[in-house]
Amino acid sequence: MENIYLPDVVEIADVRDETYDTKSFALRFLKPERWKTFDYRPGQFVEISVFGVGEAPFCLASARNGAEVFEITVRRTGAVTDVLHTLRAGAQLGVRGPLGNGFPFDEVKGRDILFVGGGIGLPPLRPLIWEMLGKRDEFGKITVLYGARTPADLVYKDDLERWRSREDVELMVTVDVADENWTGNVGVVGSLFPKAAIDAPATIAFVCGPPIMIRFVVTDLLALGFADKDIYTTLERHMRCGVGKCNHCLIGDKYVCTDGPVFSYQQMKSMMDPG
Amino acid sequence: MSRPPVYVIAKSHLSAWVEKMLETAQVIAPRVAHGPDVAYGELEAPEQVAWDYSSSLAPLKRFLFPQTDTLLRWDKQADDGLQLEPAYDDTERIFLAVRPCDVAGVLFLDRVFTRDREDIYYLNRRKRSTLIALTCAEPGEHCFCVCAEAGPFLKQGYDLQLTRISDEYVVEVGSEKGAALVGEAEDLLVPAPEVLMRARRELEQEAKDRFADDKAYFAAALRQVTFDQVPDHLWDEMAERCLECGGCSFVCPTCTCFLVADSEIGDAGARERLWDSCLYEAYALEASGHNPRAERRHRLKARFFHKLSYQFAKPLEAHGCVGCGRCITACMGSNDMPAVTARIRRGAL
Amino acid sequence: MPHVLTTCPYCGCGCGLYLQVAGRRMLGTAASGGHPVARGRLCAKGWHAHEVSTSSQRLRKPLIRRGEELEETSWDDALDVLAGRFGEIKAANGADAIGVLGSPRATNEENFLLSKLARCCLGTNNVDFSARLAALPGLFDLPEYRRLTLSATCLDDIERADLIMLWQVDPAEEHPAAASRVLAAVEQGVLVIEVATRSGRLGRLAGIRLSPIPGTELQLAAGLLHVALAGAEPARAEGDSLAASVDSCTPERTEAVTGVPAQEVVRAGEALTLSERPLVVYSRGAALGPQGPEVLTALSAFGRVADDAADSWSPMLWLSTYCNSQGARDMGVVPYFLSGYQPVSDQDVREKFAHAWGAPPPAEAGLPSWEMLGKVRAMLVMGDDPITAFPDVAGAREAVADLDFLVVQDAFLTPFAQAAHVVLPSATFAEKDGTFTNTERRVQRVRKAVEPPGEARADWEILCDISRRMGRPMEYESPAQVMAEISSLTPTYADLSYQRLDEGWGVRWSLDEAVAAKQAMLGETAADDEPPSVEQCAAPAVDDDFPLILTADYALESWAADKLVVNAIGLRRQQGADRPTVLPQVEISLREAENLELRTGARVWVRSRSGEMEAAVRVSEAVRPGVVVLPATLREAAAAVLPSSSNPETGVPMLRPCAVRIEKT
Repeated sequence: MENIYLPDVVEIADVRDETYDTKSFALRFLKPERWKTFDYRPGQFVEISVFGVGEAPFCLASARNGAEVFEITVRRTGAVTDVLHTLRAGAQLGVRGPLGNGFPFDEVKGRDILFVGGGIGLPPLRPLIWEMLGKRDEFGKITVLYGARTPADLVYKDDLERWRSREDVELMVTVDVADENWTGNVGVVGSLFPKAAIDAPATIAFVCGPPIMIRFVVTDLLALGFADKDIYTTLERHMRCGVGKCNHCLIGDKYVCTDGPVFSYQQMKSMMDPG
Repeated sequence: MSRPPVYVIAKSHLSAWVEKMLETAQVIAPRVAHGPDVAYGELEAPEQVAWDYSSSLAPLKRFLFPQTDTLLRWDKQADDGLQLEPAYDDTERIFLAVRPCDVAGVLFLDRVFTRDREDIYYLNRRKRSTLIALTCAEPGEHCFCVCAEAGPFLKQGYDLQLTRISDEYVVEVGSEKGAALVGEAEDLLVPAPEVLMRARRELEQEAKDRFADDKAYFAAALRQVTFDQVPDHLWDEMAERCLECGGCSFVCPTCTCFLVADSEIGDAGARERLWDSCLYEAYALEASGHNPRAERRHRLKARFFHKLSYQFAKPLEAHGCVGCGRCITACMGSNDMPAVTARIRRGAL
Repeated sequence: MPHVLTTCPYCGCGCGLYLQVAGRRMLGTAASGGHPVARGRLCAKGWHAHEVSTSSQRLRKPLIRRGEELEETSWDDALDVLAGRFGEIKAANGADAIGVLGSPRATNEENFLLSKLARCCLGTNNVDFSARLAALPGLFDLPEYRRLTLSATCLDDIERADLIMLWQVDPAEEHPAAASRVLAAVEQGVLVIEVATRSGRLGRLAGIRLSPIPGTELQLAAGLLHVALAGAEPARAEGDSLAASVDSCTPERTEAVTGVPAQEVVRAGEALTLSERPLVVYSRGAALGPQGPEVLTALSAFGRVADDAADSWSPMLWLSTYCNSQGARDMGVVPYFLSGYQPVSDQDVREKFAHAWGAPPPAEAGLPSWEMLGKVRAMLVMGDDPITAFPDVAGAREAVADLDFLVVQDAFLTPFAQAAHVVLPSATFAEKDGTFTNTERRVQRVRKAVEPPGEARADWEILCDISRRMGRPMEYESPAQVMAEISSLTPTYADLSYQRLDEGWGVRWSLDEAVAAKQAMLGETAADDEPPSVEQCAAPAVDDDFPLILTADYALESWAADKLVVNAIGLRRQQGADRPTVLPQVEISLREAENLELRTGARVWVRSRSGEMEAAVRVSEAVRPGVVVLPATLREAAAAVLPSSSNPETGVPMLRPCAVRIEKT
């Protein structure tokens, strides 16, 4: 019987600063053969152990490639992430996963795809964007709209550059508050919709970001004519076991860790949780 | 099974049978703790079994899903990188003379810890456990198992089920494990005569009649909770009377929420899971500080949704209550299951 | 034995609970159904009581200061250093240069031995415990004050009362077993009157809520007495002195001073008169206010108003703070008393103890805890933490830093222990035998369930070790033997043995003995007590610059910083102790939130005439308009704004409410 609570040991291969409070970590299994069974889909997450401090869930933030590492993007918010941010390449951590349900992929082939990310919401979308770009012919128009509070809060600056320079994806970036060097859009991410030429009935939307941003964006998308079932997002809750046993991540009768974290707006509407 | 499934053992032979059990496994049975308190505990000697007890302070989950359960250990000083050692409990246990409601509780836990993914820690202990139920002729002060269809006699799920009839105990075999246990005590047990089996059937009917006091209005409450029809003010009133002690979660045979926490002393550390209660304010608190269940009335509503709704009862094949009545004793306010379901029934839309 | 029956180490209710043990491992906690206080229930802290034993934060070895750091050392080394230094300081400055603090969380046996060590081995009456501050002025402790912070009642009386008045106490936070009974009483339709500046968890169930301006509690008590006495029949009226002292405290005047509407004062006062079994529930919230002594005196007068109630009815329920606050006083961890409230000034008493102890205690009363800091050169502290108990935290820290030598015995390296020169690792309640005395004066067993970790030892063993090194050995084979000695010397604990304690659920010691002792000491009858003067209130003057009043609330989040909470792996999350707090939090009412356009989380400056502090606000409907509430555990951060002062008569330190204004940052 598999032990769903037993982590594999990984080592930090690389650390990259994204913003003043966010870092990306590239992780490599200590036992390389584990990589073969670590078959994950965009939208899934892992539970990372900082042994002695605890575990925390992070979405898988990189597309599978030949390098046999996977990335997580971590913002400093609590005990585990505080310690994680002090660690360098070579440090050992634990990983359990992949966990959760992942974004739909095959089911949305042939449709236009709209990605809407806010701040720390871009990490879960990033692997999906790259995977879709990797099978570009199977999808229609691909649009990426990304917003952050200030230019300093934008993550994945390299990826943004690469997407910007491609012909087969439209990228628009905005900030709530510009700095003196910013020449791009200013405003919330929803303000990009009129500029993006979206054909709602033909499009599937993937929206990730802080809860309040999701609320506003979903309202805008519905107004544009999107169907409930064509809007997907990732939900977050306090998680402990990550495998549907400890009950902390329940929303109504749905476990964010196993029934989610990806939910369609149609599903979300029927999820009964008080408060 | 090649043997007839019903036996009888004389009361005077019980000690000898328990002696045999003690040779092969840890035996856990109701023991007097202090004064009127009886609790399931490890036996050192057969005389310690409190055969005529009413109920145990704590349910069987204490042994199969302990309040503090070590999941893994590590030592960072190890030369060959970080080594993680899972901590498995390989103790063989015989649970003797446990109440049918508590067996029903274990059967519920079986489904919780198998559903979707298997919990190796629970299942490892569970497969090494033998359940010997002792049926109830009389209800205890707070019992309502008939309302929860978890007693006073079980149809299945036990390895053995004992029923006391004057100076003898009828022993029903419910599994291979039970049959094996009987097989090891051939000299003490004999097949039960028809007259005794009839007496046992009659006793079951009498017992059900005695237990028939309607103490929990489940049907109405199940419906209201499932369809979110319980008016908010009821949850509010309950919240005013909840002191967030967590007692209901801890004494309930079917509650299983847990926290996972690490601790270290020097280079050696362990990861444990600890019982938690969904009534605690910090239950759903996220690292960001956002708390989706900040209001106590929301937490109460979520608790009873988890316990009673069809959305959970369907995959778990039962709602989360065996009618043991421990929450009536443990609640510092008045939010026990019978009181809550009665309030919902009276006050629902 | 898989279930070890013991007593909860948190609050003064003293619930019985079972520690569940498997072999040598601590697994968990279960409630005792038969226990008269617990009755099958435990609060969140009780359900996690086993966690302090297994905590990874436990001290496992003695520590000794070398330079700036505390380093591990052996017991021999630590005890040698300790004995040597105490000996030197005593020789150079006299025995009274040493102060000794006991603990309201250590067992009776340990507190008794500490008192013996101090008085015989060290030769000083400088014996106290800092939480006794919360039971002051009270009575048995200071000769000047006569009101008892001792309960004649038991917790079950809450369910027998026909009227409950919660006076500046939040049982849901501080004494859940009492709160549970209040809830049961409410279900039966009993009226609850809540007197609080900040309404507690049970406030919404109170039929009458009185919210006085901070500092006017005494005047409110007087106003209620005025109405209650006016409604009482002449035969019930106490006597001229009480009626006279509250004569001018009409409802209208009371409203003018306290801000409580006159008609509510009348409602509450009349309810008191009409009740036959009223119960006033009070705790440190009443005692630690600026007019604490006077408030306690006034509260006791309520009892006498209902005097012709059933003869055996006692209307005052004092809730002692910690699991053994009562016992620490009973055992004489008090500068003026030996165990059983026998005064050191009494020669017969000294001779009796000399006979048993081999040396007489000194005759002169010693220094109370708040005076020790600043006057003694060395201290031995058993599990106590003056810094968390004293109003003036910064002052306490300075005084502690100034000591020549400080020895702390504790299970955890608390912030206070970090200032010590020698730290001795001690056992928690789960790892030793002994007794605690709860707020009902119930002496109950504490039973050892597992061994202490590492080289930690029970405090009583440590004290015996110290006594041996200092040349006046105390030898005991077990705490049971210590109890035998306590019993032989202490009339209120006469006939107590572990055998007797094992039979039921502990033994409540008789109040009659205590009252008789008090009367003998004071030479007067209890009835002859002067009512307090209610002319002066302690409310600060507000004006346009400082229109609000900042007050410290002892119940609010009172457990979050407690050493037995922050070091408990699951409980710390439940009690909110693991949330990162950048700024101290203060609570304001809905009215202030509206007027100042503030929402929960907003950062503000709180400015008083003496200083300012930055804080985050939480908006709460429980707070009285015009008041800003600070959890007392955060008072160090507020020191600039809310300076501590002393009661002018007693010298007892306290926090006075002060006038402030709030500004957005």
